[in-house]
Amino acid sequence: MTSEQQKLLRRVQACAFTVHEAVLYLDSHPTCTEGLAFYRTHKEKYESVLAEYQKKYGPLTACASEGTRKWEWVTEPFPWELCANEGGND
Amino acid sequence: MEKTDKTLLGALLSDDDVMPEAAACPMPRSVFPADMPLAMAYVPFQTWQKTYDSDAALSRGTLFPCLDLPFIGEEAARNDK
Repeated sequence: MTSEQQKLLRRVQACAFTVHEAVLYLDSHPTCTEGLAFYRTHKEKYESVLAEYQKKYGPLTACASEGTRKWEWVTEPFPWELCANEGGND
Repeated sequence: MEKTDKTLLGALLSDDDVMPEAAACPMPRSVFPADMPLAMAYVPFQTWQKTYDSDAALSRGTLFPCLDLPFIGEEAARNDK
C-alpha cells in the first residue's frame, strides 16, 4: 500500500472514529446543540474523505462498489490486502 | 500504657483522629447537596466540551479529554494531592 494511500486511509479512519464518538455522545445527549453541530460538520468531512479514498483506491465496503462495468469489490484488492495494493489499480 | 488497638482500623486511626470532644461527625459531607440520597451510586452527567482533534482522538481512544482515563496501575488522582 503506497504511503499516499495509507495517509488517506488514516484520515478516513480518524474521521470515522470522530463521527462514531459523536454518535455515542448524542445517544445520551440527543438535544445537545454543540454535539449536533459537531456531528453535522464531521459527518460531512467524513463522507468527503471517504469518497475521495474510494474514488482513488476502490471500495472500502462491498456496498460502496459502483458496479457499473464490474463488481469492483471482488475485482480489485480488498482493503485489508495491503501487499496486493502495491502499484495501485488499473 | 494505653491499650494498643489490634484491629486493622484501630491500627490505622492515629491519636489525632480520635477527637472525643469533637461536636460533629469528623466525616464532612460538603461536596454534595445536603439532600443528596445516601447509599446510592451517582455518576456525574457528561456535558459537551472542547474535543480532541481527529488524529489525537483516534490515538487516545476517545474524542473527549474528560473521558481520557488511562489506567496507570495506581490511583489516578492521589488523595493527598
